Amino acid sequence: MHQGQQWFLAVANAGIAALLLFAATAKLASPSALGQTLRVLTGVPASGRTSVVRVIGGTEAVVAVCLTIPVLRVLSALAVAVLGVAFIVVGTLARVRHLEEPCGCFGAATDSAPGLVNIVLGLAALADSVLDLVIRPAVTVAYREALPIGAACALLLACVAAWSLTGRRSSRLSPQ
Amino acid sequence: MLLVFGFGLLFLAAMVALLFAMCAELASRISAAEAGGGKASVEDPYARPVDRPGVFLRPDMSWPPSLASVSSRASFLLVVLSTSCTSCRDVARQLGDGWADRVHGGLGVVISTPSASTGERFVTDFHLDALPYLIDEDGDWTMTSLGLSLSPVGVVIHGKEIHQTYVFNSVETLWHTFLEDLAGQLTHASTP
Repeated sequence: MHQGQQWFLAVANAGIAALLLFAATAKLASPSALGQTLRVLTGVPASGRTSVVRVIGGTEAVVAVCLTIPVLRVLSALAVAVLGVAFIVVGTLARVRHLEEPCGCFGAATDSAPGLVNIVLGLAALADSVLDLVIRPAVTVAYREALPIGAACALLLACVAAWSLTGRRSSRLSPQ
Repeated sequence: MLLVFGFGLLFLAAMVALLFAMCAELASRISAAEAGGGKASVEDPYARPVDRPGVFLRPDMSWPPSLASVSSRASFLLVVLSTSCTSCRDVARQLGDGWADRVHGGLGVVISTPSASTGERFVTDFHLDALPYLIDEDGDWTMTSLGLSLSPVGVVIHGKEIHQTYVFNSVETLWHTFLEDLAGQLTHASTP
């Protein structure tokens, strides 16, 4: 196992874990928008219930944490692949049906409809799971320790990036 | 040791992200309230439009029988209230104070509520039964049919479409705004 590959994998896993945790916390705090999107996409009113969206968020959070634990890497890589496919399906369906509902995938932080972003993030998740299944690093102490720290840093960066988006949207909604 | 620190840091970062998500949710709600001036007193009445692209009549929506008398009209005002919002109670108090006689069937009320019994109690407490009303459990109908998760709001419906959505604190102001919108639509329609 080349050391460079190990660090590449650590960065990829930390990034996807941060992305999933960010999406999970947003769904737990603001489930209504994604609920509406799911109702429209599936045509099943019950699929948009707050509890359903929060279960999805909880699942993402569990998968994200598992991804930062080397011993659970293969199992969590499979779960990440499933989530990645789900993101791609949602993005593709939304584009095909010209959906106008705000996605709600990142809670109230973004108000754009699902589409290309979901497809790209889904592909990134799929690529990460393939990397996890193909590259089998000899787990070093440095690798094990770097994962949660890297994920935490990436998560904080995601918050900063989304904060600027929310600020822009708030100023758009302010009274004239 | 560093591993424990790493997971501690990840936990803290997740809590920060959760806090951020809650702030974003609050910001989206406050922004909508600010569109209404951010003032709750009827001494300073307002009805200001809310620009939410996701709010429109869904093509597959259907009007509930309890709102049939109002939804059959070409133009009407739909007031969406919630049993769990304080300003909605102020609005409900105003609505119950003789508005049924003034609007001549052009106003319907949707009451979003966690349970039907709470909604019925709200109707009784504020004497809303003289107006066409819908008890909307969990706000499901409002969300699925209009894409709306905000209250109190007034929805102006004209020609089977949502013409405008307003946040407001005064039924009087909202009703005048509705009439002005209606007059504007009629003028627009008669312009060659």
